[in-house]
Amino acid sequence: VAADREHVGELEFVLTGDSAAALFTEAARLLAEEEAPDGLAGAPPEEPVEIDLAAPDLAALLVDWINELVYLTETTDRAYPQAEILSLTDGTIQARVTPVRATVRHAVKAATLHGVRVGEEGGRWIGRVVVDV
Amino acid sequence: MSRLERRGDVVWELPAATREDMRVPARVFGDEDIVAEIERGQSLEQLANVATLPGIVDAAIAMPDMHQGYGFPVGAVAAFDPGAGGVVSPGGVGYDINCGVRLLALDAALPPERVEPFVHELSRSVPVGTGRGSGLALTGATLDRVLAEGCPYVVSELGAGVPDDLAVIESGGRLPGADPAKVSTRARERGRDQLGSLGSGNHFLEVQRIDTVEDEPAASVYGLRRGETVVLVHSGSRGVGHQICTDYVRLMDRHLVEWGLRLPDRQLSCAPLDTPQAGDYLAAMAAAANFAWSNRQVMTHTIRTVARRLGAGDLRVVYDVAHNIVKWEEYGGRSLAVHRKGATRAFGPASADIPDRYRRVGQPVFVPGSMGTSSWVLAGNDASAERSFGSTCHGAGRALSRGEAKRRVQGAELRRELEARGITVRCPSNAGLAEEAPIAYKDADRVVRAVEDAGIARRVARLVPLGVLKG
Repeated sequence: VAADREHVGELEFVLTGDSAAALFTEAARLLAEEEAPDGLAGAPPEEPVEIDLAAPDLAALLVDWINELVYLTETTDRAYPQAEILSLTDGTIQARVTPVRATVRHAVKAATLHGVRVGEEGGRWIGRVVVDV
Repeated sequence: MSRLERRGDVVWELPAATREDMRVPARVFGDEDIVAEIERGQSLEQLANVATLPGIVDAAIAMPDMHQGYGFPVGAVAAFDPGAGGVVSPGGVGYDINCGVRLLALDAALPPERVEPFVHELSRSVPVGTGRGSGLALTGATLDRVLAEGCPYVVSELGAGVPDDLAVIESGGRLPGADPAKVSTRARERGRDQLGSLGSGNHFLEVQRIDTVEDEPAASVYGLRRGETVVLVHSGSRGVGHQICTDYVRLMDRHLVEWGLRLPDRQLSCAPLDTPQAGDYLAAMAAAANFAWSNRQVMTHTIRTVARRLGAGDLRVVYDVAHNIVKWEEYGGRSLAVHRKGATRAFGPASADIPDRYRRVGQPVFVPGSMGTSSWVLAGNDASAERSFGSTCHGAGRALSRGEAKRRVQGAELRRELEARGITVRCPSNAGLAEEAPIAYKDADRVVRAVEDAGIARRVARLVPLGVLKG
């Protein structure tokens, strides 16, 4: 389950899941919903795209992941709500994301490192990322 | 963490001794209500974090419109000395590099019955940014020249505007040192077809009436007369700037250990000013700044074309100011890297860096209010040089999150309310409209009174909206 939390100037994604990988898939879904507020229902999926990233730690990797999706969203004018995580370590991710055609508003400029956190709490994985809107 | 100690009527400080890692105080301009609101939020802690950065000079400074940001708060000014280990921080400029405001004057009053058609035609002609291909599509070589040369190129080679426009744009619409080679392929891809587009979020275009004049001599020098019509444009560097900031925050984050930098917030990621990485960022940032000025220049051309087509007359550029930028400026005999994150340069009459035509009264500053409320034209004061590194506020400042604004305000209802007040609204999304509702912002009138009381700018004219176009 993912939800956005209040931030006065920007938007904070608060992600929870039963694995680290779940946080990445939820981040993709939340970003797509933010970028396509009119909804994605009925939008036909297109050819999936492979993503392969490396970062010094899991928190930076989550930021890079969202930024990769922001870049793809803006340059293809598609939303990317579905992600299949093929492999994930503390510093690398390989994934396949599926674009869908939608009216995209390009509201998210970037994900930031401000207060970014990824970790396990009480048996659940939790991630927090502030995005600039 | 509290708390602020009073240093003057509208000057407050968090002493450097408040935290072990603060190198200088955190200084806030604002009246008691503004400061009380700031103390309830997260922005003061963010300002104190800025005060920990190496080579910071005098104080981390906040304007009365300060609110929570990421890394730097929005509404902050900080200057860094390269001779004292100073740094440059991409997050201290933000993702929308050279987001700024330009004011155009019609030098006449648009008759009331012509406002709605004017706003409507603007909404059809000025791309707001949703979808690809919303602006001018540039070839690689043309984009390089926009990045390197900014407005002078756009005016002389692309025919967007007239040479006189350049005299009334901050830095002439071209920041020196821009190097397109330091701009990534991704940044180019994001910006390639966005020149001349407004963008979403809080970016807007407003047709306004000059409602009151507070400083007649300054208003006269700026050519602003009560009752006449102006157009305020708020936009930035679009995807180019967003990607450049992303690229360089990431790059610097990976070098922090090598440079021996420990930061209280990773988004303060920065580089010592004497490193190649700092130079590369400044060259790329200057390129994005040039793109942003060019973006507002192309929109100016579009707005003029619409005005002429409707027989409304011609529009004169009054001035164009940046409010997310780093600039090299001289203070106390030292050249400092002045970061303005949601703050506006506000040089007074003594500055040689303002247009000759404004030297008698100081540089114009524009402070947009929230949608449907008043905006302000201010004039820079010489005192700003010693009090705020030549800076003042940039807007009303957010008070509510976007989510809270949407819970409190229905976009469709707000649209009807604004139109009932005679304000034409063109915005594709009711949700987007609600996010920018007037209650989401502080009172701009109060913010500008505070900067006037602080002596860092003075009120010249108040503008009220006639029509709003939002991305």
